Amino acid sequence: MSTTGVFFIPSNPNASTALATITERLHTALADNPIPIGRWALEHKLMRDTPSCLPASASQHRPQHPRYLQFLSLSYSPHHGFIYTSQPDATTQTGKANTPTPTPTPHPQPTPQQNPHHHHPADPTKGATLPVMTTLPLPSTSTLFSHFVYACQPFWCHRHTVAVPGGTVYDVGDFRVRIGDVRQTQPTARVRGTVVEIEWRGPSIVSTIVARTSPTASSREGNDAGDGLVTAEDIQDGDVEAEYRACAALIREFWAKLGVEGAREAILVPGVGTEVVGRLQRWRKGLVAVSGVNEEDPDPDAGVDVARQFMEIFRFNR
Amino acid sequence: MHELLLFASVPAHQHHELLQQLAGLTAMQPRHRLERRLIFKAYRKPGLINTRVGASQDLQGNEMQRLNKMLNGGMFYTQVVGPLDESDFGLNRSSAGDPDAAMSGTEELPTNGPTYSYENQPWKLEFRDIPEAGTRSAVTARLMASSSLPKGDISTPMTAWGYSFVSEYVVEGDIFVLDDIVIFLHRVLNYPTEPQSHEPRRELPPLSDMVLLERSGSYVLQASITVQDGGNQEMMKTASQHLFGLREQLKSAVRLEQADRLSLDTRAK
Amino acid sequence: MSTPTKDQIKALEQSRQRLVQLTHSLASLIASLNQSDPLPSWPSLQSQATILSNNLLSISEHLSENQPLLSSLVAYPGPDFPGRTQAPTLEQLLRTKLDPRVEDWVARGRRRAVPDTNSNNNNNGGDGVTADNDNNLSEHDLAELWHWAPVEANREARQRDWGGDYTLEERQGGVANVVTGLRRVLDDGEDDLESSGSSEGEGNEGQGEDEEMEVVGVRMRPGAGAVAGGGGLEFDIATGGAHGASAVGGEDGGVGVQKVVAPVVPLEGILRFMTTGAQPGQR
Repeated sequence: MSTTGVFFIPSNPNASTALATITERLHTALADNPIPIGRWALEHKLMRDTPSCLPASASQHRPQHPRYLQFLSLSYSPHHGFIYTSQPDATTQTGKANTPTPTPTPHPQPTPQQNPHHHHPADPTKGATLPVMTTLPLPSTSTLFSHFVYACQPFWCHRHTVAVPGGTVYDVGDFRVRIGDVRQTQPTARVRGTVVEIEWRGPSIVSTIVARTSPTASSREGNDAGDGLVTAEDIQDGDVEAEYRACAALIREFWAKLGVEGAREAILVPGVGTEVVGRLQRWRKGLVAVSGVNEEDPDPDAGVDVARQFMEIFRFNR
Repeated sequence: MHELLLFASVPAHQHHELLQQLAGLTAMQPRHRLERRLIFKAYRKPGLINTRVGASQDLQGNEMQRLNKMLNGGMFYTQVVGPLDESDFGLNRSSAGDPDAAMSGTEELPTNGPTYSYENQPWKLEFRDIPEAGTRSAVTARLMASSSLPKGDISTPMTAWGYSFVSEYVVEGDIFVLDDIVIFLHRVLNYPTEPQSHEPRRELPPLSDMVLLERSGSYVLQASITVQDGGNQEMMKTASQHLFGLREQLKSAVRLEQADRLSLDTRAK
Repeated sequence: MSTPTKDQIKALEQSRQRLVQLTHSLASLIASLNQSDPLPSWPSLQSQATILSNNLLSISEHLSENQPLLSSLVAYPGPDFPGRTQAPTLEQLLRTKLDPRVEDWVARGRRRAVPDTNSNNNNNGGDGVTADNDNNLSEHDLAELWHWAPVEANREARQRDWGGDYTLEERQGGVANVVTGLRRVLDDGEDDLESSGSSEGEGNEGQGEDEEMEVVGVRMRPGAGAVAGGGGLEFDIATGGAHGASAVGGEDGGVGVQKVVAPVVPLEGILRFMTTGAQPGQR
């Protein structure tokens, strides 16, 4: 797990996407040369609570704040899929200045420089009614999705499925960049835009915490970051928050260099860093080893931050 | 996935004998099983059902109809099942020579005191639809789904997904497998006390304090086959045949039959 | 307020340069740690560390030399400063306190420095007070420890027989005396070291049980016919099921007197309870 940011450039159904532009800028606008290192893919399914899908005129009981149930699978998180669910009293989770609010007509977010994030960063550790993040082995997520479609019609309605069928991964200096076109596969097939995930792979407190508290402590991350000198007492919860903000700045700077207009951004989304702070607190108490490691899934927390960012992005238009 | 089932009631006095007969029939030792079962019920906020299908301009008529149909669609009870070990239950008397210690090898010292950790309790969602109507054949057939759930606190995600906790109980029994048939000879244990709060328990009482639901101590024999593709009539038929075969084999011991459909009604009203 | 003199500007410029130098050296150290595979050699690391410490030294000298100047300087934005676009820089320049994060660093550094000085004092006192914390082991002690440990561990390991359930020492002392805390009897793996009579008996019983369980249905046990035995007996077969379940079974042991008891709750009632939690009899 490392710090990431996700950008999305919407496009019109029949126009070409920003993919070519971004790929080109990646090669020309940066000091480091991008090294293509592989492919990636994702699939995302959006469900929304059925009552809120009705037009306002049809029901006086239409809830003010729609609730969402989202399923995400990432090819680089092979052990599990992600399920993200709004809490029942979901009045505070979206719509604040922190996040691109899903609206029926998506406005492009302001360019990163003017983004309110700079001055009112999301607190990655707090939040009373944050959506619930759950990770499950992939077969179970699809079983659960079918279950909700079949048995929960009065409260969950499948709105759309989007996928990045074949994206490209680049290493650029200390960053790893994943880009790809987002295609809607349901209800109708169409192109939705281009998504860019920027991952900061340089030294960071976050990766140290993750490496030190990971059930598989001998992973690659561990060698990168485990400097053996840092102890849990050296890191305060606030440091993690500051780290997320600092990395967000680095990622925004990187994105700004590409000079692509009209993107929506998801970096410091609500709940980001929750698991890292939790791990830090466990580490401080000396509970490094997560008890009862699941054979199916060596690290259930892996990738939850980037999953939250994708969830924010893909909550569009329905 | 579909599930085909036959059931029988087994009086307590017959249990031991049947256990041995099943072991002989299946040529395997019984696999003892303890499970926590939590019952959840889909909820809907009152007042949301009576939406008017008006002359709406906002959405096309058929979309409106679809949504309205969905709003009035079925809602269900569903179970969340977690495996237990006897050592998970609280202790009420000294049991230094716990048989489990012998099985877990020499590395561990036998520990005393309850070891149950709710945070590490694994769970599975077990959904069962109401059995199909129209008795084409004399077996109970129903749609099923089974999925892993996260460990530990399960009521938070379940609540977010639209389910509320109803109650819970424990099932104890033994499992046999005969070809594609899973035979589960089991009974229900209730908790001795009412829970303090309306959510799954975080601690378990001693197993010996658990109360039998059926006071005479009778068991339920359940024989089931799961069929991956319920639409495949050929497969469903073969599976039914296998169950009938077992029914014949056990005829002299128990009467396996189809369950009363409404007793397995999972629809939430 | 007057504009700074040339000398003063020069001093400021020097501070800037030295800080730039320091960040560069730090960056290059980080880069070499991150990028070179295998890791940089010790001499190279050491030389980088020396560079860093020289940087720090020169900065600290420079800062204390110019302390009067630096502590009296006040920054304020001129009219031509692009405040609109460079707001963050401006904020940084106008800060009078340290960044909260930096403040924490400093505080933490101070906290950490305190115990070190204390333990130094103790050592200087010459009374050989060793720290109770291995953080305070000296380089030399650590190296010595590492040198000693593998050899010693190996030597210790060679003295043991790793094949069986008992150690050589335990065998020599008599296996029967070993408190394993287990009811199961461990196979001591050596015929010439036969276990004592009692545990042997138990062992056989245990094995006998195993054999009996292979042939299900033939199993007979004194008391099997006895009325109260019904509950407990059945669970002896179910491996690992003996403890609590037999206690539960005890309840129907009493009922078992009648030999044939029809269930009170019909099958439908049980299934309904299992499905919806509805108590039998109150649907």
